[in-house]
Amino acid sequence: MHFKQNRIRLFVFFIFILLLIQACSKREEISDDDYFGTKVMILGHRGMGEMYRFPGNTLQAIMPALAIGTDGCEVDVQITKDTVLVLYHNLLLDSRTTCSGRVYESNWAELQQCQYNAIQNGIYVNSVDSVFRKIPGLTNLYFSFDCTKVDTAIDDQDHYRGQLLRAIQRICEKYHMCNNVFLEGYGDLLDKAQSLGMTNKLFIFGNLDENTINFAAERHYCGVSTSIDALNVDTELAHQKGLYVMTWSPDNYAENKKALRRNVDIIQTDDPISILKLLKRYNYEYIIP
Amino acid sequence: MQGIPGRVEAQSRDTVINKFAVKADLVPLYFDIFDNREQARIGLDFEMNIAKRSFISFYWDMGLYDHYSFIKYYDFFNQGPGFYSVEQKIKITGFHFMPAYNYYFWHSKVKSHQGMYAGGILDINYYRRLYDVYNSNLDETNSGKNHQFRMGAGLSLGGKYCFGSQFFVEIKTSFLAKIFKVASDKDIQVVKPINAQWVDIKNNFWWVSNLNLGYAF
Repeated sequence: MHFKQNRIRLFVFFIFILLLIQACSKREEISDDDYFGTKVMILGHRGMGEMYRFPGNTLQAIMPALAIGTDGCEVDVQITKDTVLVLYHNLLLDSRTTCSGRVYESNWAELQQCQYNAIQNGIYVNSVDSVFRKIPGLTNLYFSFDCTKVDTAIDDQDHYRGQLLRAIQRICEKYHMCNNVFLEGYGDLLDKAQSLGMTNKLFIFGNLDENTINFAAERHYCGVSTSIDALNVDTELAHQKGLYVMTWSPDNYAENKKALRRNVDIIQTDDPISILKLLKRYNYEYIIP
Repeated sequence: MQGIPGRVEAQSRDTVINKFAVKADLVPLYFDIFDNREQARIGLDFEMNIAKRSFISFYWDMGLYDHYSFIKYYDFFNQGPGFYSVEQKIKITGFHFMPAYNYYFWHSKVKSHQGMYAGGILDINYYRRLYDVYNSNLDETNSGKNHQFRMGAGLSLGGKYCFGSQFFVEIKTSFLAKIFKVASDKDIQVVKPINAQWVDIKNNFWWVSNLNLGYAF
């Protein structure tokens, strides 16, 4: 009797395991088809995203993002006093590094000594040149340069924008990346880029609404760069005017899916792992540091 | 002399009666639930008490470890050769055989399969990796396979809790280091230990955890 009871228990136990395996076999499918006939582009926000253990806008954050399968990265660019294009988000160095002062007030020689306040020592502020030099297959990748970090303390804003754009132009020409580097900024910067004859794809920074769409279409920009929370109108409206919609920065699985469902064309994500896995674009063999 | 009921109960559940145990590992289900990759793995463990405070176990984790596609797209704006993709289809099958010796540093006096233990463990694993790489631009597929054998050794720590007289739940965690690895093709990327929850970037150390449901007999 006791033996029979045990056999029943064992049988029930294995049935439970089989049912669990069966229940797990259903997977959600979501399309990554793009309005323009290609696929949604996935960019890592500052590299691997804000939650990553290494600070964003550094080689240590960018390389893993590219290795796991992103199509490129969004980075924040500024120029130093000697017009070297650097990757750095904040206006003040004090907030994130061992240095103090403003980026545009420092020379590159000084700035490259600035170490990030991070979990690991030895992570320094990078120039775009030093990062691009180390990326294999660079011309197959895409980078979106966020050029919105223009300090209001700068007296001659127009002069600064000109210097910034020329620094970008030099880097793009050096690495044959003019077609693969997007510029995100406000109208005055993008207009300046057009006047300089830059061929980079230009994205106006703002909410996705009718005014922004019309503004971008009139000026023949490539598209609109907008927050995931500021997709105020249907992306179809932008698409009909030939504009791409780039959105930032979904930071979890649900937000990534939301971005895909809104039919955006380029996603700058803080959670590249979950979206790449969802779209079967994740390189499982790479070990993330 | 009349027997003491509690003592009789204790004797009926000692190591003589419940000398063996089989266990099913639930951790291999993790990837099926939380990851978009196909796995069909099973983790089974057989253990045998060899002394009052120590036991040996033989854990097999085997099956389909990975079956996924990795698609990479190029030329999104049709400015070069035109939009195309390179799709890798990877299928990895194999096994992990993990024999272990464990010693209870805390042991229930009543239940033979309840206690906390520490021990030494080996991880002998083999993977067969099949791949198809399709380039839509060239309309060309390259296929191949490679093999990998690896052995590691390490330490483990675990605990078991009985519910009822014969069923128990076990949590075990093991930290392992590579002893050697042999691969059929040196040029391809090393397959990391797929049963592991953590692997160091050089593939030399890995950490494996198990959540077992066991039946002692």
